[in-house]
Amino acid sequence: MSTKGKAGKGEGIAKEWRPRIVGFLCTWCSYTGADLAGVSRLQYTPEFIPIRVMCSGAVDPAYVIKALLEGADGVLVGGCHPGDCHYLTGNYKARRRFAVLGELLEGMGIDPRRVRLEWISASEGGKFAQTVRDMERQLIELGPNPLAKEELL
Amino acid sequence: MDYAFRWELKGGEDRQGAARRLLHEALRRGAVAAVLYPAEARGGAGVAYALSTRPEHLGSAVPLARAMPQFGPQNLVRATEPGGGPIAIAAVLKPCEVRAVVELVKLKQVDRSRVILISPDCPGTVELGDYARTRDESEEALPLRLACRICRRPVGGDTVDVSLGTLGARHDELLLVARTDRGRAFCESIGAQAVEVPPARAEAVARALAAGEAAYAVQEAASRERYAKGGAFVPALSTCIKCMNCMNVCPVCYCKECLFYTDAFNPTAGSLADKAKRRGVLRVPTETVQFHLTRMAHVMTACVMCGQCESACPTGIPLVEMYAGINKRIQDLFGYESGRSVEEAPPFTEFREDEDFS
Repeated sequence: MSTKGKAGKGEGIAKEWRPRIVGFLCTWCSYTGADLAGVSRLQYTPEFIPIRVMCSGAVDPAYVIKALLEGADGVLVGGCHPGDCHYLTGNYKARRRFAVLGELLEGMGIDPRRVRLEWISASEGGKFAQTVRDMERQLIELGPNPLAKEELL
Repeated sequence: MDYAFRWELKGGEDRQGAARRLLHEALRRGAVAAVLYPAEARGGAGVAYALSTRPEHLGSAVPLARAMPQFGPQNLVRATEPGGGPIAIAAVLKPCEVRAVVELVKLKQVDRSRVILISPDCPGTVELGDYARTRDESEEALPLRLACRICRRPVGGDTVDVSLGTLGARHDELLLVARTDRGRAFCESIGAQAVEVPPARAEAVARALAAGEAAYAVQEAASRERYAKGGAFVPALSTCIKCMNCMNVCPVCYCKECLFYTDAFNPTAGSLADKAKRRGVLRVPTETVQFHLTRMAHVMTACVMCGQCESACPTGIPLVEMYAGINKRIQDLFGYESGRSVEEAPPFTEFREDEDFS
């Protein structure tokens, strides 16, 4: 149970379970914000897996579902603040898709608190780190993603 | 504004016969160039859609059939493609199929200007395999499809050109209710007799709609109990063979290039082995849960709850039961109702700057 999270590089020993979070981050805002968090030496979980996308509006719910079914404990979608989308309206479209996804996951018995949509600008390294820390806390409360334990999925 | 027309039963014919004669007149008088309708196989063994341009071929037409063959709305996609086919088609489709056509019109798949949509008041349908029994057995005796038992809109709405009314109609007539100017012109052109909308009509329709809402609400609550809370979702998909029939018969699933036919969803030998190694055990065919969840995310805003997906499933996955827990709730997020109006933009094609769904 506790070995699900990968052991740190070169350590080879089982570590305490930490939730794995996949992040789909828009390249213009949230990914750059994550970069800023890094260069600012802000701390957040090493089990965060960032995936750079061109726009939050390009995140098909299929990607989020895929991450959950492949064992992610939570999924963060990060986009530009409303009004700031590099492509003008991508984040508004993401917001609608995400609303559908949340309702759908809940309806099928998958806790929608495992997925999160946040607006994080390129200058908000602090907000990025805080968001990931909040999410980790939430996911520890929820425990490991039960879908990851389904043998025949 | 609704306009009613009386279509009298003649010479011992039943309502089915009267509806057949209506199509006959439409072709004979040139009101339309073609009609699309459910047609019965020889001996009543089954029913399928037929497209006819000549009145003499309408002998097998069963416009009021209590079964719904697949691909009704999709037939209109093909039949109204730019450049080909007859100019005007009268299509007899169930109310749910009309709603699907409306969604397809909005997605620019059907040319609405070339179609007269005719829809019977729908008492519900049985599975196609049970169709042969509809002749001999009463409506009560045959099990209706779940989608029909929980249908919220068993009567055509404002998007139907002409309702073939049985609710509130006299026993010796079909009450043609024209909801649009084109519907009205159609009724006039086939020689139907204009009458006042009988008061009994509105009452009977309201009762049918209220009963539908109530049945849906009961199912919605049961579905949420079972899937949202009961953890039944993944087990219910355990019999999925990923034939993708549910997707292929879905009237509102329309992409020409489908994600599920790309390499991303068709594993190579190597990736299959890798994944099995990583997980320890791998269900094959893979990605069935992914497939169903993604399908719901993609089409639930447009889903008209016709239940063709479930009817086409060879392993009996209770898709309608699953969808009943989320269909209305998801559309309610946007104040949207699939098939209600051609003016309402599909939720994924628009947005408001100040909306908040959290």
